[in-house]
Amino acid sequence: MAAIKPVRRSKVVSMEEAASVVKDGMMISIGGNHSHEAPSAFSRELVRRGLKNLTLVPSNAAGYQVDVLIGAGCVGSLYNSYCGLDYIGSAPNYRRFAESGNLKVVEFDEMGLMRGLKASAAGVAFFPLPDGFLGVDVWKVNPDFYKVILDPFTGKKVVVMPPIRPQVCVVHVPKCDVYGNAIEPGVFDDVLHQAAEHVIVTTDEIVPLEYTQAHHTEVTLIGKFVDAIVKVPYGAHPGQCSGQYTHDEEHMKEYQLAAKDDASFTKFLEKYVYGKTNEQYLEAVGLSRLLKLKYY
Amino acid sequence: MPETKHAKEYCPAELMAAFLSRDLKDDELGVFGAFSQIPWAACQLARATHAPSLWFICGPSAAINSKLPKLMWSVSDNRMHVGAEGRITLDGVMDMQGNPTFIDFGFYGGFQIDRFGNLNIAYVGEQARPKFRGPGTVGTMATAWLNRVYLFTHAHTPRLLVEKVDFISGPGFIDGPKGRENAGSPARSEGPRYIVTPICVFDFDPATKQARLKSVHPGHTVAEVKSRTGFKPIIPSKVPETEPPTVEELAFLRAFDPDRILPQLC
Repeated sequence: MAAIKPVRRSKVVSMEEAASVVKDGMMISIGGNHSHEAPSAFSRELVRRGLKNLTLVPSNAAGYQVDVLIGAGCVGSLYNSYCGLDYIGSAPNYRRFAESGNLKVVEFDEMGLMRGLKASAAGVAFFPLPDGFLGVDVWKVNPDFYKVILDPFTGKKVVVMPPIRPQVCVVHVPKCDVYGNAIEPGVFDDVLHQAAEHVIVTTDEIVPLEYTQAHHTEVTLIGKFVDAIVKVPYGAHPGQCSGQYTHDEEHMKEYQLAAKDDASFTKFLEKYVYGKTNEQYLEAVGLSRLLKLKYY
Repeated sequence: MPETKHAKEYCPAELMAAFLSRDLKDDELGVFGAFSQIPWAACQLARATHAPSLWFICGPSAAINSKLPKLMWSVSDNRMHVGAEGRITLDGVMDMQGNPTFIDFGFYGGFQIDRFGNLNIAYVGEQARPKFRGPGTVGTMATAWLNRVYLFTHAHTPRLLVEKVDFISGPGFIDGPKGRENAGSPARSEGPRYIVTPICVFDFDPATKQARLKSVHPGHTVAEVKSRTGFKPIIPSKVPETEPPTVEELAFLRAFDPDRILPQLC
């Protein structure tokens, strides 16, 4: 009798397959913090798919990966702690869509957002915020989330957050093995992926399991909780990817300028996003630019 | 005692970094967020001079005690981990922020600061359709309750320094001496200590908790501060000059900033 060797299941899929789970109207969380570890290529895929009315739950500090979806008309509401382009300045689509009333901004601060996600991750009814959250303004404009209750132990007022449970979460990492184990350099992504129902990881590189085993004490993303892995070289561009490349300041500035109105932003999307594979996107950005972003 | 030699030519951000660094104490722990080149330079300068055992966390990259030898535009850059002694993600930082015994000081800025040291980085006008949509409250609400907070700005205009912020992201003294207590302030939190701008430093009057002109940077005047400030600061009868960077402080800052980022900030 021939021995049948069982094969452990790889979770690597194509970008199209991974993104196909996202449907109009869903609540989607997107990782990345300021200009690092943004799943930008995944956002571009959602733009190409023409998704509508998404509720976006980014990290505490969103940037391009969220702004591009807003500008392409994919976003109905945004759970916002911060949206900007790092030191380069304001995220133009976010700003003009909010100012024209075409984007519902649900007002958060980073601890409120974090603790709502943690309530989801831990499966608890709510998560309290520390003293001091009364008498200031975020909870006044977002009373559906920042609820003031009486602490059953002390009788004092306390602000609590309900669970925030996105249906799909996407995070980007520099390296991931085929089973989904990875070290997340993103400073918020560990909580973001724990809070969601379905987790997609985009990665610049696929590494052998031996790599994970040699660094296992640093692993923050346990493959068991990953549903799909997509290999996307330069997948964080124009943001940075830890240990690999820094952010593309020139492209960010081009983006910022292009996003000033719908007409010029559509041209930008035609140049870089619509109908382009990731390879064609990188060709449009240009090899010399991409090489310049490498650290070493 | 040898006389302290002060530098003759420096930019406002260099003076601001030197001023802030002198207020940081050895063995303390501080935290700063994005777009924080001045706080980063201040922490490094303090460690290089009077506070070699200072600790600092760069929030966006999570690096503890970064030894990266040069200032960069983005403090979320992973290269902040060069020489770092640890990494703490925001989940951990936020737990520590909620417990004011852990973190001694923080730095932040925004697009509106008022006479009680309240900060707005969220929006102006109606929330649903704001006249101006800023980036968002981010960590300022939690940072506001650390033991002490330094507000810093890259500009000094009546639009930035306003009578009353349109929205409180980072609470200062809120509406006066009882403001923080009424908001449930943790006992140890002293609130905002200074507003450091490119032309002056404000502290806060202990009785009224209103901004008070502490010092004016060399080359600027009290009259100029008055005309460029949108609130009426308390102005004592004598307002000293802010101490400029010493020759040694400036030498450190220049060596730490080979790309000359500080002169481009304000």
